[in-house]
Formats: sequence, C-alpha cells, structure tokens
Amino acid sequence: MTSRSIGEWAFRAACLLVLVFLMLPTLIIAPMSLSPDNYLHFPPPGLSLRWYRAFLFAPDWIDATLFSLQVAALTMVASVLIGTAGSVALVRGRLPGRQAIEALLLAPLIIPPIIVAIAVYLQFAPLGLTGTITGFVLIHTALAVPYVVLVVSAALQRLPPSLELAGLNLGASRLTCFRRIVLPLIAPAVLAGAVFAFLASFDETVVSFFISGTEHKTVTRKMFEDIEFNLSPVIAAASTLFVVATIALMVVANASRMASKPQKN
Amino acid sequence: MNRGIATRNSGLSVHIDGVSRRYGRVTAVADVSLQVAAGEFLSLLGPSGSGKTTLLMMLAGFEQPDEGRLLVGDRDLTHVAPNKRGIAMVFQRYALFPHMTVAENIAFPLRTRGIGRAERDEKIRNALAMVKLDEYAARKPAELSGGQQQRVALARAIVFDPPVILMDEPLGALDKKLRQHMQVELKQLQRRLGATVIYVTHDQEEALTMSDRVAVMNHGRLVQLGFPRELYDRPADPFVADFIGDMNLLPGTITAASGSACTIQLDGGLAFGIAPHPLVAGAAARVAIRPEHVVLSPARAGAPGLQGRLTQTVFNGGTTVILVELPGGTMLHASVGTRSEQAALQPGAPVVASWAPDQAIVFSGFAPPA
Repeated sequence: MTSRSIGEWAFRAACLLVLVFLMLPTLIIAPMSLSPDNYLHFPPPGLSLRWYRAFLFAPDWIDATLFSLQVAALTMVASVLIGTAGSVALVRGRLPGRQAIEALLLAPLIIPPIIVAIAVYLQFAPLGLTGTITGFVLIHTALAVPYVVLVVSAALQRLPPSLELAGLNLGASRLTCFRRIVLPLIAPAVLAGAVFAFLASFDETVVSFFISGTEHKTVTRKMFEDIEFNLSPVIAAASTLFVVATIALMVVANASRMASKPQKN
Repeated sequence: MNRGIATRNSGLSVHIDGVSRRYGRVTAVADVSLQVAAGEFLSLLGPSGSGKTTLLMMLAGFEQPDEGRLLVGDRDLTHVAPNKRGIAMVFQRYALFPHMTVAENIAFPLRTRGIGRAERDEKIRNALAMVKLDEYAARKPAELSGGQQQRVALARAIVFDPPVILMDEPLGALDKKLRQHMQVELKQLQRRLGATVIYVTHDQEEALTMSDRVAVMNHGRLVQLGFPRELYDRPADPFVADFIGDMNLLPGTITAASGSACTIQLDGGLAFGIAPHPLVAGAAARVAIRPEHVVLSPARAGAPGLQGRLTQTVFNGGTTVILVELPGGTMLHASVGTRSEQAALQPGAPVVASWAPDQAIVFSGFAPPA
C-alpha cells in the first residue's frame, strides 16, 4: 500500500511542478502589470493601475486591439464555415485522396510559422494585400481552419451515421438532415472550434508581424514594437487583460466540448 | 387483403429482381430475386456477412445495386433517392435523434411531408398509443429504457403510414425476455397495420416465430425461400439444415438408392433417409436428423440402427439432451422428454439410435464442410 501511494504522490508532485513551470511566465506578468514604476520589475515596487489606464486610453493601443478583434471575428466566421463543411466532407464523404486532403488541411499546424510568414509576405506584397483586413483574414483563416477541423471531425466521428440515414429514410433532404440533426448535435464542437479559431487569429504573431502595415497592425505586432522601443509595463497590463479574456473564452470552449460528449444512457 | 381490425392502409408488394452488389472483389449480394407479397412479413435470415443487411440497405436506398431492379408496388425504386422512397426503416440501434423529445422524433417524418400541426399531433398520439407509450411524449430518448426506445423507433417508422417497413435486427440489443415479448407485439402491430415488413435477423428462432415466410441467405445468395415450417422440415441444403434449429449432420455413404429414398452406411450402422433430389448408390452423403427425432434404446444384439455409447445427459427443463458417441467418434445429439424412459439411461450405457426414415434428410453432392 505505502510504496504504491508514495509513487502516486511523487507522480502528482511531478505533475504539479510541470504545471507551475508552464504557468509561471504567464502568472508573473500579472503582478508586474500593477507596478507604478516606468520599467518592468518583479516583484513590483508598489501597486497601481497606471499602466491599465495607459493601455485603455491610448488610441494606438485601442486601434490595434480593435483591428485584432475585427480580424479575429471575421477569421472565426470564415474558418468555422470552411472547417465545418470540410469536416463533413472528410468524415462522411467518400472523397478520393481523403488522407492527402486531411494532411494538407492540417499542414499549417506543423509548418513553422516563420516559413508561412515569409511565403505569405512574398505573395501578399505584390497583390497589395499586406496591411489590409482582407489579407489578415485570408491567412489567419488558413491557419485557424485546422483547429475547427480537428474539433468538429472528432464530434462527427462520434455521431452514429445511422442518425443521418434515419433522417433521409424519414423523408428529409441531406441539407435538412444536416440542419435539423447533425448541426444541433455537433453545435458544442462547432462553438469550441469557433473559440479556437478566434484565439488562433487573435494570438497570431509571426505572420502578423510580417504583413502588418503602418496603418493596420494587430495588437501582437504593436506589442512587439513597444517592447523594442520602451519596454514599459503597459505590455504587462495588456497581456494580463488578454490572458484573462483568453481564459474566459477557453472556459466557454471547454464547457461546450464537455456538453458535446455523448451521454451515457 | 383483409387483415381484420383497423387496417389503416394496406402494404405494397416488393419485388427484388436479379439484384447484385459488389465491393471490389467481394460480392456482397449475388443475383438475388425475391417477391414479397403485399402485407407479408418476410425475414431475411443468415449469418453475418451473408448479404442480408446489404440487401436491406439497397431497399432503403443507402446502397446502389450494381445489377438488378427493386420495385415497390409498380414503382421502380432502383434509382430513387432514399428520402423519396416513402418506405420506413427501423434501425438496429434505433437511431433516435437524441436532441429531440419522443414526440419530436415521431413528428420528424410528418414535418418532412409538410403535414400540418393539428393532423401531426393526432398522428403522433395514435402512434404513441399503438406502441403503448402515451405517457412518454415529452421525454428525451436517453431517459427511456432500451425496450422503450425501440418502441419509439417503431412509432416513428409507422407514423407516416408507410406501405413497406424495413427492419434491421431491431430487437438485437434487447435481453431475451424482452425480445420475445417484443416479437409478439411487433407481429400484432404489423397485422393491424397491414404493412409489408422485411425483417433482417441472424436469429433463426426469431425468424421462424414472426415470419410469414423466411428467405435464408448465405455468401450473398438466396439459398432457400419458404414458410418457417418448410425450412424446418425440408431444408434445401446442409447449410439451411444446420442453420435452422438444432440438427445432427452425419457423414456416410449411400449403399442402396431407389429414387429419393435410400439406405446409407453411417458411423455405427445402417440408416434410412430420403433426399430432396435423386440419389446414386455409392455416393458420399450426409444425413440430417433433428435431435427430437432420434429414438434411443438400450443396445440389443441385431437391433437396427446406429450402435453407440451414451456419454452425457444434459437437463434442459422440459427436454433432456443426450449425447451419444458413435464408434468412429462422431457425436449424435438426441432430445428426449425429461420424464421419458430414454432420459433415465445412464452415461456409459451402450445404446442404439434410430429414426423414422421420412424424418432423415439425405444430402448428396454437396461438398463436405472444410
């Protein structure tokens, strides 16, 4: 009994350490953002909301944030439409070369972002797509679709095909089957996919760094510039706000994924 | 066809005409032709992989035949989309829509047909009453037992008055008691509706109990089509003989033949039998004899029959199964009344097994099983 529980405790402790290691850089940002000082310090010499005010009332920060939110929202819509339709084709269709298509769809997850960034920049610059919302949404959608495909395909695979067959048998068209049977049942996964797509776009840094213009830049690019020039705790304040928002979104995504797990009967 | 009480609409005949389906090099259904009469309950019976489910899927429109035609009534459905066929299907695992209530599930086929609210509610009520689930309209499928879910699936299938109902092992997931109960109910329901039912099952008992006729399939082919009694008493080949009910299949050699009657040398002695086809003396053959037709008696010198040794008696309730080992090692099963004298025979006793000649069927010219 004892040797077993000692092993178990050691294992739990190791897990906890790994978690702390992973989380610490993110957690350390929060106290640093409350510093009254002009530079990033840890621990902060005092407490103040000065840098939150600096972030929230600076037009260039707000512009960049709004631009990022706009790109992320459009990316989310586009990648949910494409990713869900693609998942249906991959899971339910009898596509020739299904595996090749699947591999291509998921490629953006594997290819290093810097390579994508350079390639996209070289393509977008002559087309005048750099620094435009269209350009951002195009490439962010390509990067976000894999997340939607992964989550939605998994949900579709759990759905017995006989449900759709029953729908057809009872007189519904394929479209009606999708709308009335499939979509309601995979809705939680679609919602989770939407959250992932939104975050994939909002967090995206490398490609955004390359294709941002002076006019239209994402908040991630803006942070990079700020770090280069003055490294003020406004970065920490912005980061903390984004981390909190991200956590909230992830909770939503997870909750809906849980809800999509098949019920035991 | 008048089936008595409350026939709502009569069923339509189904004509399966030379249908084949291949998957690559595997032939799932090989040139099957079959006429199902209007209002008939027909079972497609066979082991897994026999093609019975593929045939059903083609009737539903989920699979396309490579050859042949499918007709319901006078209408050729071969190339009609599954949602335009108007024939219902009950699935193996019910396929109820989990996000809809029982009433919404049953309303589904009515909505797709554009039936108005008032008529819809009326039909749902009737269908629920028909399967005795009046109280459960507002429940979700997950809140029901397996048997109840099965009834909802049935209600959903019959609510739009389909002339033909396809059933794919609908009782397979239920426990034995409930299954037997549902068999009776299903049969009564079908009689009342007058619908044609094509019922896929691998359970021969179920097929014999419920069906007007049974089509036995093996390796994609239709091997025998007949009334349950016919299949049991006069199987057309060793496969059907073995698949339907319990059967002894004893290998031997024909010693004398006259038309379809013969004497045959078996392990342990000479026996009589008749064949569904003319026989030739000297040919290898197998004798099919039901355990309940085997008569055992204590061994006496010169008694006609097969000499053997009783190895075991197995109490089965009303009947007792007696295992007899023949000299060459072949096992013979006999089923006798538990209170009969034969059941009192003791293991180790030498016995003689015999039967009335017209109860043994001789198959010759079939390859012995590998």
